[in-house]
Amino acid sequence: MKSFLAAAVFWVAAGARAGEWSVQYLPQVRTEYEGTGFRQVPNGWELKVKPWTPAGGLRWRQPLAPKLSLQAQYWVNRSAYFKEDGNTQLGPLRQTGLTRQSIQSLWVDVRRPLAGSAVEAVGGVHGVYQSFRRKDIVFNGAADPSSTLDTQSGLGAHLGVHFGRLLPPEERRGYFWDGELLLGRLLWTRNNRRTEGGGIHSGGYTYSFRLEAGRAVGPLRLSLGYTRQMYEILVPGGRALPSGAAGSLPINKTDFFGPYLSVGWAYR
Amino acid sequence: MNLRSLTLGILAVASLSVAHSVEPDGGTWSMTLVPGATLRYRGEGKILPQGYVNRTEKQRAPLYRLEWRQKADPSGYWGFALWHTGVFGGGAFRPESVPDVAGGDYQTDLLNVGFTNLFVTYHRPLESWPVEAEVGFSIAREIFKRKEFVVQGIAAPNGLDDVNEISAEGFGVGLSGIHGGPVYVRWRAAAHYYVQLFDAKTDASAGQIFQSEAGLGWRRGRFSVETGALWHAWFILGQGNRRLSVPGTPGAVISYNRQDTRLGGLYLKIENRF
Repeated sequence: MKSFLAAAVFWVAAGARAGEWSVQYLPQVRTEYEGTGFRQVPNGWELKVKPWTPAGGLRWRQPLAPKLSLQAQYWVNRSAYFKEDGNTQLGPLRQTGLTRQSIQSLWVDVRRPLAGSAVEAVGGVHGVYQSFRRKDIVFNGAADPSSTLDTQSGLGAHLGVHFGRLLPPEERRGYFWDGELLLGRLLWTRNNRRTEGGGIHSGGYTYSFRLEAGRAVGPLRLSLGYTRQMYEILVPGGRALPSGAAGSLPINKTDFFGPYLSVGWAYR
Repeated sequence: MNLRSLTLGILAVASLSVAHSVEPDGGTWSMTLVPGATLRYRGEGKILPQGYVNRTEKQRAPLYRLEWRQKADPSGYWGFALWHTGVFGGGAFRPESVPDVAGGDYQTDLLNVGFTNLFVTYHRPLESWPVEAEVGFSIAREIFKRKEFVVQGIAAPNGLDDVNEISAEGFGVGLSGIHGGPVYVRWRAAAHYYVQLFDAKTDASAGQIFQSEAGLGWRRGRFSVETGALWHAWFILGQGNRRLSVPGTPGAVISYNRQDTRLGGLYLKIENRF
């Protein structure tokens, strides 16, 4: 699936010789996950994992008409197993284990400036997919031989503002900077390890903040930036493993943030 | 005072205000009523060692929105809106239950959920489009009133009730548009992100409000009347873990860590430019 996605992105990029493409590289992105809420068993409440791995992004900007443009951005982390800890109460109710969290998001929107201003209003749609592979689980003081895959998806709409000074594609030298803040609502969510019994199990909300500055060298766009994103996905989770350990939770919040390097190419 | 008389009273006062608004400052005010709004509330919380959820029925929750705006200006203008629903506005108490992990109900009570939210918003039109962008600050307060507690089969002493509140402060963005002439279509969508400045024990990320509405209106002179549908979804964090003392029991659950509140219904809006 991942290789298919990477190939699709590559060929779309290679085929669409228009607008401005850029690749973002985050050497160490901080991903902080907190799952809370209903569980099938009466014990415990939350799970937390804080992976620290590289991540990347791909962005495409394309003018659609005078004073109307489109932007699509895709972000993905490189997943790896990290220690997950559950329930702040010490003792037999505690759940620990190793979790590999993968998160991908796609934000597509149109932008138009405010009257008499360089600031743009933004409206668009976005999607998020995240998965949790759990193993080496210890719950209630006993090892659970299970390994699980918990997946969550969401689709939503977002609104926001974009500001800064971008260079037109024909500009071959100069400095640029821009930033954006997008606030979104997830209107559809789904997970694989579903269960009955919780109260909060649909919807969710998101935000994405980005600030970036750099220099054009010919068609190249070289820049440094910082992004901070948040995804709160509400699903009918809370499914327990045979030992009673949590295999999924209904209220899933993921923060994704860190500085990045960006290399872009602007087609005339 | 029943809901109908309250609604008619507010409309009458609003109409009188329209008739006597003679200051030519060019602003507008409007009153929006959602008389038959329904509110759905869900809470999930941690009260160690058990994770609690509640069960509530839909509540009737008439919504009132009073809004004032400066005269629309291409270079930008300000406005504020006050949203309110709750038992004082005709909202109803409905049964709430807290399931017991051992089976049955740990607790039952009657619950009314209300909120009073203030939005201060800067509006500015988009370039050459009949669409406005908005950026705003807001203070949101959600109010939970509970009474008639029965905990583990033991009824609370007569008259024992509870009021629990959550406040948050936030900022948001939105888009809106009005299309047409005397008969027009209006739409709006906004998303607000919240923090809790005065609640250090809670996660700084405190939730979100998403609002959407669309309606059909008719304008004559400076007055317009409009009807449509409105949806307001609110997710907010709180400290949870609070219990009310009920003798002979571990206590009644009166707060949750996560609350999901959704309100929707058909609205009637009147607006006057003065």
